[in-house]
Amino acid sequence: MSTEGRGQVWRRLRAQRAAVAGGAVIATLVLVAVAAPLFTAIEGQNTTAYHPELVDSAAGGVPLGSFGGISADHWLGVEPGTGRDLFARLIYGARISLGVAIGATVVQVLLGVVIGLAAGLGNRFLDELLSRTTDVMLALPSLVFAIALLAVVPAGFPRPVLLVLVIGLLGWGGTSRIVRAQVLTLKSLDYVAAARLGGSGTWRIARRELLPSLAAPVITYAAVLLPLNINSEAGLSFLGIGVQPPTPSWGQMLSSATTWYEADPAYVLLPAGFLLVTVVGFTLLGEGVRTALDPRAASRLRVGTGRKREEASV
Amino acid sequence: MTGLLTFLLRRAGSAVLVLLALSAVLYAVFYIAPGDPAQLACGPKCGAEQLAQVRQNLALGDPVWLQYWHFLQGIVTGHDYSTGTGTEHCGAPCLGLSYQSGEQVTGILGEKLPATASLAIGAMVLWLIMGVGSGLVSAVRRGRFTERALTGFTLVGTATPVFITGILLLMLFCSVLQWLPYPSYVPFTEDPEQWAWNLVLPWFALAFLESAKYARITRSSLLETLAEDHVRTFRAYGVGERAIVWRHALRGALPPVIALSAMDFGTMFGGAVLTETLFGIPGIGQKLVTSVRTEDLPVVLGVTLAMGCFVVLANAVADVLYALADRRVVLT
Repeated sequence: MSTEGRGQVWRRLRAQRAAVAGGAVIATLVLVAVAAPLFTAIEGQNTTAYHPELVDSAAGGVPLGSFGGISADHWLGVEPGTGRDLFARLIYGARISLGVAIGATVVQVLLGVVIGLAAGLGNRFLDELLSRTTDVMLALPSLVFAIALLAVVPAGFPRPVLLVLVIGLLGWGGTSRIVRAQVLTLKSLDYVAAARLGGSGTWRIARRELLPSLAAPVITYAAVLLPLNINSEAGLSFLGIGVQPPTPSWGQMLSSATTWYEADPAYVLLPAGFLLVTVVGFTLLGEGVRTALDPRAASRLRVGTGRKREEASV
Repeated sequence: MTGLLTFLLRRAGSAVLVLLALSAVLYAVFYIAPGDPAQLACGPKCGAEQLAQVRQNLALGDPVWLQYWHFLQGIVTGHDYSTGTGTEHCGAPCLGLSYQSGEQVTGILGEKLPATASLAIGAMVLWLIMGVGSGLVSAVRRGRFTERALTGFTLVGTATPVFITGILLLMLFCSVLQWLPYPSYVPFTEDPEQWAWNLVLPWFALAFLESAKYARITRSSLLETLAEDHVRTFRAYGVGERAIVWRHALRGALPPVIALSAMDFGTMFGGAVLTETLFGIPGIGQKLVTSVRTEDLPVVLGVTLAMGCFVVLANAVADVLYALADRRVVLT
């Protein structure tokens, strides 16, 4: 994509209020997640310290005080039962959620692009093989297969990395299908034929001529994948098969919250809220990116290119 | 008619191929997994004596492809397992045997199927009513407000994980309003009324997630049909708007809705893991999770394969239904 094209996409993105809101939410979350140690240092808490004095052991471990024990020391209250600081656990949970989702999306996109390119450029046999494999990948209930894969890996393997790999390996089907379709269209265009006549090999054509044109659809689809991957990680951790304690994750907090929703609603609402805001934020941003990159949709936005405006003013 | 027959045969053939590929991959994963396969199959609490039996049953001395072949053979013809006291016959389709509980996977599936089916059927009825209904309304009353409401509903509905919807429903109806008791599954054969009351919340949780998709599809295909020439001709002849929508336009929206339902119904059988776990419904999904927790790998393998089966079957059925319902589809 040329610099001018990039500027134009950026302008179209900024013209959409919902996308800007989603982007702002995500940017804030990423910032908080990256600076999590700083924030917990300011608060003076950590994710693991137990505070039995902050929960009412007579009432089964419900946090003392209102709204789940919110206080100047514990900004979002404490976990029922253990009294661990919720703010610290939530923002460290954001690290897991965002880290796993972004990592898995990268794996999915890389695999999808490579496989889609190979299917689109390869011979008939390779195309048939890869396309059928893609169909299978898309048809599978990926959550079930993620569960099965996670079951066979020994407990010692670092869990977040494992989640990135499993979610990534099971989710490349959509990208590869889109890339293959794009490649088939692009292949027949004159400029690719010209490159071929000019003596470029398949690899060079893929890299120099096709990849740049694939950027827009792939980025659009990656934006759709991100919130799905956030939900996958949360779901697996909710089932107790994802991130293992004591590492905090939102899905895991929600799973333990299922026994507390009556006594301590705040403990349910906080991780649920964080998760929802993140997913909706990514979805809005993704929708905006799609509109910004789609030349047909963009005309509805009534955002001219910079150049046109200049011409008009002259 | 021959076109339809070849289409059906081709579709069935590709479904079988997919299932074969699936079983091979699953088997390979379990074989390649680090550690002793016998120990993996038997579980962490397995004694030396039992381990030797497992080794004999799995015939670990044979080459991998032969082991896989025996596994496939077991599915078609059944398989004999030697236990401490004698042999246990696992009838076809034999998907394996749990060394921890001594149960056969097929038996487990049969036992857990009613709960999963209860969940899937009720949820599907609800999401069809909610989804098609709201799609219909928003297509007929076109306007900024309905359009925005539907977009918002679709966005939140599809983005919210089912366990969040579920917990919020539990909080609202069981804890705050106290209209419903905390759900605990009652089999239909025992007490149909209690069965329904205890499944209402999971049904709604799933329907909320799924119906958004149906609303969008119904709306877009209705709008498409309503803009077609023949509908304009009906209008010109003075056919009422109601008749146009119900008798003509809705018919055009049916094929995608039917196909999608078939697919989602299959996925429910293979993937209502989260809903079943949250609401404590003793179905296939919950069994999968508990087997993972107890490291009962033969059950994990068998159940996963069965779930893949349901989904592949549902996809094939969806394709066939779509082709039958929409005569515009060219059969290949």
